[in-house]
Amino acid sequence: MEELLSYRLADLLLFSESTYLRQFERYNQWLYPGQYIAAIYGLLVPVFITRFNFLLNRMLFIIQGLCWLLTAYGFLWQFYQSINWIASYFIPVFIIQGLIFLGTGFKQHLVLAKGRTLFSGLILWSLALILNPVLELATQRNFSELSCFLLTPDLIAVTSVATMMLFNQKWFWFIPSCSWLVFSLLTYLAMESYSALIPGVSLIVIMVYLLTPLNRLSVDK
Amino acid sequence: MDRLNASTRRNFLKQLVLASGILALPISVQSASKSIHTRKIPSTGLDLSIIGTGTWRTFNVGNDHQARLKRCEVLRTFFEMGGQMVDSSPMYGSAEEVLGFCLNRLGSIAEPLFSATKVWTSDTNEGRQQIRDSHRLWGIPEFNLLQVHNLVNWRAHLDTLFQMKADGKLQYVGITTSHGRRHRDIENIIVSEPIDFVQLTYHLQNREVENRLLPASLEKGVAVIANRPFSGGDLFDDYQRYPLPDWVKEFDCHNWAQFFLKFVISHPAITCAIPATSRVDHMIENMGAGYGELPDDATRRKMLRHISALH
Repeated sequence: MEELLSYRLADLLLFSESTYLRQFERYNQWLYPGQYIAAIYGLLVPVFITRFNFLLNRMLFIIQGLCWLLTAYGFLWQFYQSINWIASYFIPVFIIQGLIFLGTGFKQHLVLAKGRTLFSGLILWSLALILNPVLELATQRNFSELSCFLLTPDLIAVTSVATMMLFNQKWFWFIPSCSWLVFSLLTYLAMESYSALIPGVSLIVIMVYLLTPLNRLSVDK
Repeated sequence: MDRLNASTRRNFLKQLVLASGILALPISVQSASKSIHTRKIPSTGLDLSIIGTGTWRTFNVGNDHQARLKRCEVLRTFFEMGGQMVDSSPMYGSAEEVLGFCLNRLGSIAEPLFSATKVWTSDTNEGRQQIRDSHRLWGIPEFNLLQVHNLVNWRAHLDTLFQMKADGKLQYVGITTSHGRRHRDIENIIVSEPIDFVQLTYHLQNREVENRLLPASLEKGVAVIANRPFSGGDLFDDYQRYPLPDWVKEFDCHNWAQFFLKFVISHPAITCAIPATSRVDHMIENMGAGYGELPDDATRRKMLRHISALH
């Protein structure tokens, strides 16, 4: 144990940051033009969310469930697991999270949250949609290496937690998304990359939401 | 025709190293500098180029064909500049698979290869399977050197490796550590086991091995591989912003990489240093450290004083 603790986080990283970003570049080529469709979808959801009806709310969950499955197959299986064996262990986690979303979309009666929960959800959504690409470009990441909204692990995790907040889902459905965000945070910290901010800030927002009375006050009756 | 091209390129690369400073030296020094330094492996007396290459992080590029081709060029440069030892491990992700791809692609250019990999598992039978997997991934029938990685299950794995050596399926047996861990155990193994190689971390900022492990290796006739000679790149972060002093040209040093490497390989106990890189230009710099003069004891002390003053 003492020996294990003597390792720095960076000592456990098997690849360089440039190799990791290269996986995004290759994934974006594989996904084209899916990233543009996802970005437009991401912009439309907050605009129309208050006008969504019961059926469209369900569609939101079903689409995200499919995005989890596509990200598991595309990003993790096709690319990332070839440089990081730990990523292969996240494939079933992603499939479970995808199935949770599909199940929720098909079965549950979904009611939009109000007040601070709605606000927290929208903050996370905006973080993934707007702040993330700005941050990535500001930190010298090439356009071709940008994370695709809804279809890369960090951003599907953040938007999924946001969606669950928006519709008052139970906290334990957050666990698969949060487990990825913790893993991603550690990976970026090991690289000493500013990209750690997105999973880091997201986890803080989620923790604040879960550990304070905020979530109980939020369903403004 | 390929051989001619390879030969031309090899000469060009050597000239590039020499042209960076050695041409200004007397003729006697020039002639002594035209081939890479070698050290004898104590257990066999065979020569080994003093600069090898590691693959940690740098060769783990997965199934990215474009990145694999770039690593092939790095390896091509390595061999053409006189390199031999390529060190990897099953724990380096896809590095062994990528190495196999490059070795196959390079063909006869990779003939000088001295192959070194590791066993890294707590299960003895799984260790044997890991060795078979490594053979398959590298695409070679036998390794020159197999090492027990970080002393994991070392007694059982050493038995396996010694048996392979006795059966003529392996040339050398070794153990590894890094980051200065478990030095007491390493010293005991050097003294008590008939190993050929020990791999350890040695660089300008971590010289703990000078106290016991390097003298013990010299005394017992164990070859020493120095890993992490740049401290995982930290040395560049700490010193590269400073200009190199003029006096380093006295020992044919032309950049910080060579400063760090020449310090390591000039220790008499070191058989080979294994810096890792994913770039051809960095490989040329690294390999350049193996050419020309090496610092003597007085110069090594001067190098230490110089970096102490900077940091």
